[in-house]
Amino acid sequence: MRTRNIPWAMLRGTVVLLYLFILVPIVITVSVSFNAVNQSKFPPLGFSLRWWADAMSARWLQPLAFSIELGLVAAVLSMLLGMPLAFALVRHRFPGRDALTTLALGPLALPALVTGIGLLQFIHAAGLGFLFGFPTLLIGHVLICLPFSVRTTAISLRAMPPNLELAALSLGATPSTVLREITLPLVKSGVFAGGVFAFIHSFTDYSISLFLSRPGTQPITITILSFLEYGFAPTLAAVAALTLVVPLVLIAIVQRVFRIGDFLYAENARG
Amino acid sequence: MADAAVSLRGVRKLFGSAAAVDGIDLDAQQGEFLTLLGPSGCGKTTTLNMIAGFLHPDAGSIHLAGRKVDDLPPFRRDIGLVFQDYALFPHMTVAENVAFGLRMRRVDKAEIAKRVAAALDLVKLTGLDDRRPLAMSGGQRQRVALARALVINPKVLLLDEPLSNLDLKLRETMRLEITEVQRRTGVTTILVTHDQGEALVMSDRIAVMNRGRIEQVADARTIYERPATRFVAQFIGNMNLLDVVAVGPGGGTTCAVRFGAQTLTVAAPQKLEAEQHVLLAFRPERSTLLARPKDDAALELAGTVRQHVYLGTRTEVHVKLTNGASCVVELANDRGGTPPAIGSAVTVRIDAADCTAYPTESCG
Ligand SMILES: Nc1ncnc2c1ncn2[C@@H]1O[C@H](COP(=O)(O)OP(=O)(O)OP(=O)(O)O)[C@@H](O)[C@H]1O
Ligand SMILES: [Mg+2]
Repeated sequence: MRTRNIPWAMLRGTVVLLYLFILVPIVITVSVSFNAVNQSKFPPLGFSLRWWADAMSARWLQPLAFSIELGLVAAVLSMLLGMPLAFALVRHRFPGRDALTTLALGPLALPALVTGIGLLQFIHAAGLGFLFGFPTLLIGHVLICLPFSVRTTAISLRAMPPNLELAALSLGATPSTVLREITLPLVKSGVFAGGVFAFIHSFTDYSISLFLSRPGTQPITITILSFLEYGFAPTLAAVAALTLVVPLVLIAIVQRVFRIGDFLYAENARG
Repeated sequence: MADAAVSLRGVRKLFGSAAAVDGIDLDAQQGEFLTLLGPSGCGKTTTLNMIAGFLHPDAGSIHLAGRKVDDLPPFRRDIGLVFQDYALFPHMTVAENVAFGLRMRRVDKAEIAKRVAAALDLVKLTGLDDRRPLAMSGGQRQRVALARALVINPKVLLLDEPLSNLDLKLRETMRLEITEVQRRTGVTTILVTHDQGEALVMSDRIAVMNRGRIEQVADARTIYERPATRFVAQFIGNMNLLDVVAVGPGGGTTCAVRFGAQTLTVAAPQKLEAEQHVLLAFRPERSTLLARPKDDAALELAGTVRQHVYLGTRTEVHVKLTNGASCVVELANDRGGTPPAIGSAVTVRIDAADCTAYPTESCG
């Protein structure tokens, strides 16, 4: 019996370690933000909310709002583009299908820095320099977010028994009714899971934004990055804690409406 | 005569260069329960999909109640379909599933409620309206699928292996229930199955398919007792096959065949060439065992008992014939008599009337 338990013990140990590595930095960051001194001490020296007051200033809130807006628009666009793409890739065989797969899923495999540099060069070469700021950021973010929505939509499409649509057809539903009443309701959790992934990916991205943003239109990640040049201050800890909350709140909200948990936590996604 | 409910003429379907359905003619009469029976991959589902309108035939045409439907999309064909995996809509309740077809037909709410209740009643699911399909057993899902297909009063009901996902006992119950529902509604039904037991129990007529063609269409008794081809003979039930020689050219009705020194005239539905090897087929349960030959008009085969297989109501006796071939004799276990001991010499006897000769090559 004892020897049998060794693998279990090892698994438990690994899980505990994993949680430690995820949670401890968060705990440290959050507690550092309550320091009474202008030093990133852990455990904090004294208690104050001044760094939080700092974090709540326009200097930080404005890029945070910008990031949320960018992330939302990028997520919606990649959901809207990803759905037809996933349909085409899953349901149809056509020339250039492999090329399209590579294009849609490529940015996932490419280091984002490479994509960022490439986009920068391209925008200059195409004479689109006047678009720098939100438009270029949006293009870049949709590009790197698309793989997520294509993926999750494709997973729900594949998980759907093909006979459902045939059954609806035989019962007198026209193809557009089938799409509206059967297909879309059954893939919507995949689509929204893709949207959530896309938002988080956009919200946490800095390697694309580094090349495509400009002063005044900066996502929060870039603002944090430039501030880091002066060292890590408790203000940053407060800002970091703030950015942590955004995706968590989003997941909590979306999870209430759609069963995206299947996509977040398990392989077997259904409906 | 009234138009057949379903009529296929010269229907062909190619996938690439291979014919999945290779020119079939088939009629299902009003109110008939017709079964397409055949091994896996013989084209049954493809045939059904063409009737339903999901696939377009490459040649031939399909009529429903006298109307040509080749250019009619599936949602205009008024066909009820039950799939092997039931294909219930997981995001709808049982009642919503059953109501779907009526809603598509813009039937008014009160009428829908009435007809859904009646349909659920018909399949003995009263009171389960608000369940979700995923929270039901296989048998229950099967019934929902049946109710959903029937509630629209389809011109034809198509069932594609509807019972193959159920366990044995439930399968046997559902066989009878589906047959019963079909009798009560009188809906023309085409069932697809590879299970011969299902076909024999449920159908008015059976169409046996093989490699994209129909080998025989007849009622269960004829299919079992007078198989038209060697394929049908071997596919349905157990059959002994014996290598014999055709004496004269014959076939169509009867032909004389020779086995050793014995010659006898047997049924021969297909054309046979003189002095060619042909196969003589006979059922194990139509053969008997004798201690010694009688030397009359029947076929008598000398051999040795090799094995007994006890099957409850019957015992299979495996006999090794003196010419090296083997055959099986099935004895009823009704009188408590024991079959001849293993190793004992016996004579297998079959009436000429219970034998059929087929060409050696099983070409349709
Ligand atoms: N979409 C398709 N593309 C290519 N070949 C196909 C397609 N559908 C069926 N086939 C082929 O056509 C033949 C008949 O298939 P079909 O599904 O009609 O068989 P079936 O009699 O229903 O078999 P089963 O009992 O296994 O369901 C098979 O050889 C199959 O491989
Ligand atoms: Mg099939």
